[in-house]
Amino acid sequence: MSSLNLELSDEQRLLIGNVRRFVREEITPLESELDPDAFELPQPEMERLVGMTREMGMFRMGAPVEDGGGGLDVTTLALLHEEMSQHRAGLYAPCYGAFGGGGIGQLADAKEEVREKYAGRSGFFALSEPSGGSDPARAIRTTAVRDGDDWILNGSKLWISGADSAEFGVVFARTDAAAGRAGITAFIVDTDSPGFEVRRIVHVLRSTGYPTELTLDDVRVPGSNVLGDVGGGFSLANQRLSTGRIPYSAECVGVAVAAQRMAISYSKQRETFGAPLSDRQAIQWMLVENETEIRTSRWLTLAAAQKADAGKPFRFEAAMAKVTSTESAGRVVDRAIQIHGALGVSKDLPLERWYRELRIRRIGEGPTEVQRIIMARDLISGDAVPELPIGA
Amino acid sequence: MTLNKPWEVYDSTAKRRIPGTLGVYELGNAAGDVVYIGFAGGKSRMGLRGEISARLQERPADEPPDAAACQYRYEVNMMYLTRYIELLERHQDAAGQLPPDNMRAGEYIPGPVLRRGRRLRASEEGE
Repeated sequence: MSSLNLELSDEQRLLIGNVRRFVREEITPLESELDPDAFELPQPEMERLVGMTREMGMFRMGAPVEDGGGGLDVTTLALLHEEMSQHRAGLYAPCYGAFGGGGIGQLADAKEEVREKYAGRSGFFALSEPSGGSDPARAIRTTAVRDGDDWILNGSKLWISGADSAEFGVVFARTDAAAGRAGITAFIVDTDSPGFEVRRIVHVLRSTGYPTELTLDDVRVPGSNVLGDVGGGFSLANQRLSTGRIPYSAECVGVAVAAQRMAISYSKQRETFGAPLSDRQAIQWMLVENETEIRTSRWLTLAAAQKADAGKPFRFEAAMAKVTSTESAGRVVDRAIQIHGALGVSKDLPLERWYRELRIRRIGEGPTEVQRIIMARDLISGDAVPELPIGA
Repeated sequence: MTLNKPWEVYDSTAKRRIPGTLGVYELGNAAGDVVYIGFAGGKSRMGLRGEISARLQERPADEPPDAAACQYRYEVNMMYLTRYIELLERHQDAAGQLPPDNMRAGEYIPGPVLRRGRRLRASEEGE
């Protein structure tokens, strides 16, 4: 019997309407004045918008209630992320953060006094290394060695967003060389610790949340800053990655929706050889392909979210949503650019930015190929149980 | 990485030599000190050429002659914002503060640079 219910509740409709109006009336007008690659708003505007979302009761909706957030379920959060991302900077800076973030979720696993110390401060998540990121169990070479009550960390991390201005980071290091994935531990590291250095900004296809490379040279970390259990870092990282793939997918759907809206609108107004583009079958088929891919991505994303909300294993569904939404959003934006012609690749429109940033999405948070490995494992082992009565 | 290129003197032919592309640039005084770091972004009408020319032709009236920017160097770069942040952070880390013209009112200093500067000053005060 199916457990999939995609009927929106009245509350979900209300929240979606609020976010949609906010994007249209507050974000888009401001964005037209900013640099096309801008990733932040001027401080007074940011303060004004955060004031608005607080007043609306919509600030930090996804953060746990015990941390002062809204404790919103994953499905509703995915629906809202689809709306928040429908503007130029929306893929990597949905509404420029005016709705607040969930914070570094792993802090929930910290000891209470540590959680209190770091809550609300800017942090980063450092898993990947120059030796790789998709297979952390084998790739992590950063080491942590006990020294009395402290740990001494040595190594380097790569592709780490926000480390150059953060106050602390969640750093994964190997605490037992022989224990494989059970030998990895997560630590909270203060960025003003002696030996911590951000070596460089790594310039990639996006300006928002740009990655950095950092080194840890005999960085001393107190034992109280171990997150979770010693040796429990791998499952903490996995948990974060699987959960994060759902809003990550929803944001791709949102950008695809915005690109499709632009493509339909432009195809109706642009005339070639005496008729609007929308009369041409070649264009019509592109629009239909776009819509099919958008709806497929949305369904898979919400199906993953509903399983997460039901407390069921959702790794398989999150991986499928991630692959489908990132790959298809890239194709949707590509077709939208083709429909717009030269205008599509100019910085006058957001399409070129989405095109660049979506390319990263096929790699970030676990590349397409790794998601396929995850899904194949579950299919072959029999762990991927279909939830829909297919063929019934 | 700093913008490690030789300075070029801004003269009557400079406008033809500077490309109209996106990128980052630095302005220096006669001693070769960096007095401003800037970028030509997607809103720039004439790219680096327009930005550098405007900056060098519209110097503040109260500027002491020895502080005046008179030379430039640039880098064509599509990822001008992250490169701009990197140059500002490198300068701030080395000199303890941003270049003087960047600290004037109305100049855009990205949030990550401001936060890093605050941490830098707090750490110096703590020592």
